[in-house]
Amino acid sequence: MRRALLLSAVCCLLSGHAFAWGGAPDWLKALAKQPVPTYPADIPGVALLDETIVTAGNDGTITTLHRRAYKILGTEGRDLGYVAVNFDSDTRISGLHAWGIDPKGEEYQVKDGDAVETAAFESSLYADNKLKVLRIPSAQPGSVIGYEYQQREHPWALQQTWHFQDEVPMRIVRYSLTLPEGWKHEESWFNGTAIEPRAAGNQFTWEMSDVAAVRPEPNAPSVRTVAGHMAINFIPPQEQLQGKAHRSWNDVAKWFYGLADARRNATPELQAKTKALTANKTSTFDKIAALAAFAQRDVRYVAIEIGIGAVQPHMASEIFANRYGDCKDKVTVLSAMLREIGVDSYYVLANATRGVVEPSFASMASCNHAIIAIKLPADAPVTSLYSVVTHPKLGKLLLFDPTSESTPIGYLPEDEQESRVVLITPDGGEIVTVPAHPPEANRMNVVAKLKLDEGGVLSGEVREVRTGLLAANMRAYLTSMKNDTERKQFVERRFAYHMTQSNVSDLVIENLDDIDKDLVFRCNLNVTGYSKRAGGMLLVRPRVFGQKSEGTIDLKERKLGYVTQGPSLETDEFEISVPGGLKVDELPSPVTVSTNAVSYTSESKFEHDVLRYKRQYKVQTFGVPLAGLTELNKAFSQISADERSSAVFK
Amino acid sequence: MSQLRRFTCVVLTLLSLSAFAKEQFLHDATPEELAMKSVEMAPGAQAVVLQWDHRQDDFTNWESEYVRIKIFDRAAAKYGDIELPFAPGYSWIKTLEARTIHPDGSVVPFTGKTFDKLIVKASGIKVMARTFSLPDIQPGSILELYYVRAWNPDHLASSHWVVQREIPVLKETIWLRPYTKVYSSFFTYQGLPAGKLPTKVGDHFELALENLPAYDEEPYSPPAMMDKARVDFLYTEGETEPAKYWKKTGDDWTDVIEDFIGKPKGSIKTEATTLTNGLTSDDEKLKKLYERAQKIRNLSYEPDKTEKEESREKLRDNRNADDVLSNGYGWRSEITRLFVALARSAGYTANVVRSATRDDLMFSEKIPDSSQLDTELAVVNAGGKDRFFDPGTPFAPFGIVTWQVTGVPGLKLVKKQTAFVEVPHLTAADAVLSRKADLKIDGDVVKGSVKITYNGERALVRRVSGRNDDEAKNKKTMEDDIKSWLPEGSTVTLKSFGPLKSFDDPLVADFDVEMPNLGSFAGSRVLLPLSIFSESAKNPFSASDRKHDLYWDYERQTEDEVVLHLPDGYNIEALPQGTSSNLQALIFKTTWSKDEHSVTFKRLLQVNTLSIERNYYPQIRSFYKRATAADQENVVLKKAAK
Repeated sequence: MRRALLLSAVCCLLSGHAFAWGGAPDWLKALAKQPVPTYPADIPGVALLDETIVTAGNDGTITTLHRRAYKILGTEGRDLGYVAVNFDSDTRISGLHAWGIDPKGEEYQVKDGDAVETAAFESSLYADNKLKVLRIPSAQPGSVIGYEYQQREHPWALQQTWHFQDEVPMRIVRYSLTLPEGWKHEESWFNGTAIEPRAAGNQFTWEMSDVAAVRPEPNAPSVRTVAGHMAINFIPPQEQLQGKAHRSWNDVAKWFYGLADARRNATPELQAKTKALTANKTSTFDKIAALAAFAQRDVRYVAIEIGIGAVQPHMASEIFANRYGDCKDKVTVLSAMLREIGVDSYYVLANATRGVVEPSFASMASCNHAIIAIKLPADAPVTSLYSVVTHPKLGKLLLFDPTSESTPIGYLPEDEQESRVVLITPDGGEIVTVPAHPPEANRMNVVAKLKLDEGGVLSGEVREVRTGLLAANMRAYLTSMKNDTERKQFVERRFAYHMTQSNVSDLVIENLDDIDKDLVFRCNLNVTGYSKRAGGMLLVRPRVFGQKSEGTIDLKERKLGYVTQGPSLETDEFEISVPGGLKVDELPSPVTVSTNAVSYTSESKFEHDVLRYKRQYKVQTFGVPLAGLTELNKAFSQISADERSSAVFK
Repeated sequence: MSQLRRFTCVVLTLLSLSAFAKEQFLHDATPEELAMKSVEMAPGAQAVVLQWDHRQDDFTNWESEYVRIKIFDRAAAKYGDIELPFAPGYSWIKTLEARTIHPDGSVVPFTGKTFDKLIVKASGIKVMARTFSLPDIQPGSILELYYVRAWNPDHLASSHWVVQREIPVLKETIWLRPYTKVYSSFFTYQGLPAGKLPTKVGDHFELALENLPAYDEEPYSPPAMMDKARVDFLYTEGETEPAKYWKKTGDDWTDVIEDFIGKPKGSIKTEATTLTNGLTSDDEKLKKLYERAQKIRNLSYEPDKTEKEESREKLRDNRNADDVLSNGYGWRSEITRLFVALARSAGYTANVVRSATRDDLMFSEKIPDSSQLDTELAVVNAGGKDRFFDPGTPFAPFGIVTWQVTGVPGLKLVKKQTAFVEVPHLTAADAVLSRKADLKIDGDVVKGSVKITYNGERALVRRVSGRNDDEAKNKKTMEDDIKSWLPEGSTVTLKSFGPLKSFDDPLVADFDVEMPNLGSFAGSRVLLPLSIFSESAKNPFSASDRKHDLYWDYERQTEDEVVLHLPDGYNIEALPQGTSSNLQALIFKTTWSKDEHSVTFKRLLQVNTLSIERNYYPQIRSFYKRATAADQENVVLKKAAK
């Protein structure tokens, strides 16, 4: 809501502003005259030019000129006329200008003074990042618009990423780099073929033309992880700048460790609390769990990020006193407490989006999240901990995310599984691959014992038990609701989705606030008109409720793979007692589906006036490549057909 | 001198308030409050407002809020993140006290840093927020906040208090000392508990409220602004007695508008004569004039332009209806006035009605605020009957006005006879959506063609929302819409659609569809629900309880007809009987019929009302349950024995 108000305020201010007169620069006029290829009708615009000109200074100053021009092709391209530029206390913006040339050739200009400024990150309570937003006049189909600005910064690391592929096609995309004498550069390429730069002395230029758009697709990996980009390190010869050359994850780790380590010092109050929390715990692991629960549940997520505070944690004493902090703060206070009980722990840097952290290019900029690695004691119940990795020197490490309030110890949220994270140790650091949890870690079992009466009313008891992330995610959703009424309405909607005339009574949700236990729903269900009379037949759907298929994927224009909701194992057991004397005429056939990503079995039986339906659905992986989607669609279609099938009685 | 005295008074008041604050306003929690685990009025609530006191003195330019929130659930700790907006140079936060009280009564005062966060800065305007977070919040904690915001003495603004919040409120008070020099002032309010109104006590007003439930969103509810309990206090320079106010406002508007419309002469007269030449019926004549007005370029509905673009376009202001005609463009009210001028020139009695809109707030005649009537319509007397027209809304069909102005009052602006009238409701027949499908079975996929026809208000809504989108975007929107009706996994291909820029014709879209997930193909039988446009729709009234009245934007009708051609080798084994429910306000009917080669399913859903009181919710819920159940009925086909 706050964000909507802010955006609306920004748009109002922009729309009402008086812009200064001025003409477009020659480079934009020249681009406007060039013919543009024909693109599909749904392409909103094409970037005629994307140019980045970088100059590194001997003192580590990086000056970057950004220049971009678009031809707007469709009405959805009007949004390209908003330019948003980030800045903060360490980054100065100068020369912000934008121009528009409308289809009649009329030229417009706006500049820095016309911009609206606003806070950049709405999710933080406070951060010193800000945005300048400019609206370019004449941003309409047929227009050519362009902008440029210069950023001057003293970055923490001498590196940049050049994104040469975007959500719109790019005609010319160019990256030029000028380095001081004696500096070197090294590049890593992702989602594209490496090209050689044109070199002229210490100036290097990479250029491509006609780069295709990569567009977001439903249930697909994030565009950031599949779009082409080049990451580049600037390597200075000077000793004093060596700390800024993050050429390996070890470099990144050392730099971060230097910022964070001393933040973990305990105070008497923190020591006392640690003692109190662990007083009745006998095993070391139970003590770890108690402290983890404190950091996870009693330290509230509040982000206050000023300058280096975007990456450096607050002091443990401050976090503990306030009982709030962001992800790295939560790790810090937990790590400080673990030290007090003699357990080693380590910062782990991650990204909340799977696939952003690349082993082959070390960069703090690719990490936006922190979790913790805890050295497991011998008494740890390793078999029930799914987020354990084995380090060659440190042994078994338990990864834990205290920011995710509903994820139990031993688990990690989905986006942190099947991903790469950066382990920070006193000696440096390295990339660690986090495997996906096995399907058995995340279970849902539904059992319904129901009775169908002569009038077609289905009634009985339902019990649903969830474990692992299937419990955690549902718990997070339920606890975000304002009260019990909302939770009841949610459950009513779930049943009504499959049975429009359903009524729910005696609903009990067990262990909603106890994340270490199974989440259990119990209720009585009453459904009017469940069975349908058709001629002399009675139609009864054995699969009473629940949908396992994730939906058919539209493959018409699909270019990206598919991301499932993660490994899980779900079982349903429905038992429907039907009125005596009914004879089964036709039962749904058993179904068996098996693919690399999912498997499914179901079976209906009718014995002694009872219709029994059992099924099992297993998701085995997060990612399914594009080539596997036809098979996946077929599987979803078979599952969906099974869910719609009816038993026919006479 | 008087200004200096006023300033001194402000400072002294604030100083005394500030000193007074700690002692007076932060006070200990009672044992009952400390022990509280939930509130009876909202079981399972995340938090409850124990107390929320607003004090505002418009004489000495300050306001204060004192808030105490009891936290029951960890998720409610977010209420400890505080943002207090202020505008540097205009207003400032003068006093700030906050603390967390634990269930055992121990107190954690807020002694941390506050941060002044930029909200927005542009064109000489800057809005900031003093930001901080209360420490050590646990379930059971009480959050306590007191602050004073002061502002420059040369500003006076109306005040708005939404007293119903997302969590329940046990006690809430408003204390207001109004500025009484120069300006008149008045209260407006909605949704307050019976018998609770602001009361004058000496030089100020007081209002005390108790046990306000949380505001919960529900489907098909009136807009939140219409429904939430709120109190507004407005200043005005003019008349505050409603009848006199509306009389004067109407007279003033009439003068301005009549001046714009002018006398029936010159180019307007010529245009009207030319357009109606040879036509005999009122409908024909008015339609021709209406069409002319609709053809005027409507500036109100064009994409938002920058001032620079507007000034570069050099559009001259329209001074009168003649200008609108000759320039060929106008804002929506100018186009309406042109139509009135044309109608008068053709010999009709025609006037402008200044109407309310009901998309966010409901008009109240008791509130002397002219901004409530923000839309102009035309009313033309033809055949002795007043008929309403909406030429200022692009694509509004002849005789149909945009739904936001239906069923609301408006001021009919007639020289010296200004009076309130009601803009008529639409009928369901004014907003018909027709959906037809011709289907066959191919293997285990149902496929065929679909024709969607938007009529009247349905076409208007669709055309207005897509008016500035190109064909590609409109096509995608159409395809997405029909996909959302059909069973999950269906594919649709739009073959043709249009016209998008007409007020007169229905909007028609033709598709090819394939539905791999419709029905059940098992064993010797095929079970098919033919309510393909609604089979996957869910009952919006699945919840057993209801807090709000039910509300629809406009009356409407949806007619479906689905024909299934039988595949070779299959017979119809069973055909549903169909259903009929008639609550007058809501009507639902399905029929099934068959012949040798096909099955035909027809469905009608009519909404004949805008709102239904929540007392009737059980009947409405039951109606929709029956309707959604009927949508899932199947025709049963069986393979013929060989």
